[in-house]
Amino acid sequence: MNNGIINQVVIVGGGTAGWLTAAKLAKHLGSNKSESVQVTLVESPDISTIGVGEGTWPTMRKTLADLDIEEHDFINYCNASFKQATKFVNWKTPAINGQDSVYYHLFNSIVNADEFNLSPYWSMSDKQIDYADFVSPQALVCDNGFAPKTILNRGYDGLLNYAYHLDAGKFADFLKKISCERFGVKHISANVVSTNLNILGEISSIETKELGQIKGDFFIDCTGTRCLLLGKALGIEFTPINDILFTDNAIAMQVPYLDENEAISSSTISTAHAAGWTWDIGLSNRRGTGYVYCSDFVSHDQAEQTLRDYIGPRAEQLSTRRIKIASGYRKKFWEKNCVAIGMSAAFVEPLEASAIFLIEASANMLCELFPRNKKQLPAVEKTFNDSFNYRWKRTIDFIKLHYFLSQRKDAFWLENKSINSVPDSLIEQLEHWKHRPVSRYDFQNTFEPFIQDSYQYVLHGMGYAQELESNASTFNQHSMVDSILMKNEKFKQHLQKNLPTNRELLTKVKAFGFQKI
Amino acid sequence: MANFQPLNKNKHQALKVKLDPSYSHSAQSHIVPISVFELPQIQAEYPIVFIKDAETGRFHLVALLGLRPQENLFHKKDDWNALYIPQHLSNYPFLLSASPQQPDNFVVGIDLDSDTVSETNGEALFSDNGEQTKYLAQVTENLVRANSQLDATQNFIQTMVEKGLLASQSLTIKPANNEEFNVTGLYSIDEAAFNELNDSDYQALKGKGFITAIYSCLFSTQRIAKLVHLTES
Repeated sequence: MNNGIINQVVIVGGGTAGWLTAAKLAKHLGSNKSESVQVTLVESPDISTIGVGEGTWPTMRKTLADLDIEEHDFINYCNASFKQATKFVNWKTPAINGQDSVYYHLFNSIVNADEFNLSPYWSMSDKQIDYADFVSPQALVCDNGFAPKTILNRGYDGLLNYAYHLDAGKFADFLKKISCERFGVKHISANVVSTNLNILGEISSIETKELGQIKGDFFIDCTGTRCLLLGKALGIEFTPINDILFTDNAIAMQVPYLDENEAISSSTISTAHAAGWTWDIGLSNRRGTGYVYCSDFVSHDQAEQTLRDYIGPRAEQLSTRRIKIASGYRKKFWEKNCVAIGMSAAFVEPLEASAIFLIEASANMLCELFPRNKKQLPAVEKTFNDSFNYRWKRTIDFIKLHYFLSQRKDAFWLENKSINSVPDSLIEQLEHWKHRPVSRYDFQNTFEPFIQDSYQYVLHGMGYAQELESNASTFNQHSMVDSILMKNEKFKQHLQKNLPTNRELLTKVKAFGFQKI
Repeated sequence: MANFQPLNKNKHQALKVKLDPSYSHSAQSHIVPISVFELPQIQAEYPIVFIKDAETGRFHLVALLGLRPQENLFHKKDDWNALYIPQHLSNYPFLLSASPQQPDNFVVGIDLDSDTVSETNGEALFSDNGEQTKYLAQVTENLVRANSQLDATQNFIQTMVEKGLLASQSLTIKPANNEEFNVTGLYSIDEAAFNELNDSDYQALKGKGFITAIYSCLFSTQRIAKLVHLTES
């Protein structure tokens, strides 16, 4: 031990969590200089990555830009496409006479709710247009399959806020190349067989089958649900949340496009079914789809059939892959000289694409608070655990909200409404929101995973009833509202005239790339 | 619409081209592509800007002929409001294009739909015995020269982008006798960024012979006032 100075960081596990953390940390620490902290990533050559979630949040644009990555290089390598929303189909009610119930959770509002909240004005309007159309031009853009920008915009700039759909396997490869070539990450291909602790109970080294012992001062557990370091070696227990979120299996299928002109969706399409929901994510070269379900309510065969029915005739020749999922989180994410990032830390069903976002958030916090001296560990451990304990709980609340507000009558959905499955924190908030609009004061934490706008898209999209009439005189800024609505309509027209489709823009990005300026 | 055809001495022996001092084919163009070698002459009379191609997003180096789409302030009935004529205009109705048979070879093309092309009026292209005239030889030489400058111009543009020397520029034009309007989508050399270049980057630009071109771009912004003045008259 070198006076408690942390010089060697060892990340165990590749995948999106491992490589994204490696890239961010090595860039931040300046690891390509030999006198800086060194980052080594040990990856098993035998274990394939699970590729959780192929959707990101808009934060990914800053993440990539901060890593000095050109947007078009990322898009082309990872078969990425532009994501502007999650489109929820048949969540509020099942299809009625073949008519789907649809609402959008958008990334862009014409005015941020914490600056001026249009929500009560929509609630008290005749609701002739959907909430999303009332407060944003982006639902229309998604309906038309438009991109959020044109080839004239520079990398990472958009006319509208956007995120990505991406091939997680390719993304990990892409980050691996950049981490090693640019940021000085050392890549070791070996299988970890055990972990050694020192007298303080800290991890001192890992044993690998191929290369023996690898020492380190600080360890990052990106081993997925196996949780080799934090769970197995340090004994931090897993808290399941299957009493709140019931889904326990997913069946996935990759669906090719019919031809090179088939539209690429601008939103993740999440469709509710009898015992769960399907995701449908349009990459530039294929769709990634899957059914997340609870096996208490449907057999695996029935689930597969549901997915095949959803895809339609083109599913006939296609194979599926089943993945067991276990929602929950570790009692601590950081213990002594080890932090878990990614599925080793927690997992919730990918309904709101929170997985990659929470990896970014964890890596950001680790970078900024990185303890160069072991004396700092206890303080950072507490700050990190408090923060992510909060963020995961809020994420779980937000996912549960989607189920709880549904009017579906299938057994699975009714069970989801049973009051003892709903966190008290969520019940409490919903109680408030019966009588007043959602407020920025409901989101006081700087690192709220889901913001006020997100809640409002879901609450109004699901038809949550609010009683605001008795307080109508409070909502009297009608000229302000009118001018915002007019701006929104003008913006809609401008976008309809100027935006290419997702597919058209991706074709151009492949051919020409974006300019730096 | 232009109708460019490869020039063929059998088919086109009788063709003549009338010189057009007003360059009327450009009457509806507010920009014209220019070469990096033209910049010293261009800057004396036209604003030089970089614009993005709507199809590809890539930059072109252009001179502004007007401040609004389809506005050409230099084109007059029988004259042109400047002494120096950008090559791209003076070479019309000719252009050099890759041969359809041998893409590595270039052929001279001519816009048969141009008002300046006829069998009656102007400079002959071929003599009676089918030899190319002095005029056509000069035209060909001009085209070949312009073509040989394309790579250098691309290199200049690319270098400006990569060194972070371009900045988006938005102009608000207030003609004395008319309503103000905005000109967007223009990029110009960022003088501050240029002055902050480190020595090795500056030497690299000097080595490529771009310093004069950069100053030409910077000075040319003064010509915007000339265009505003032309919109007023």
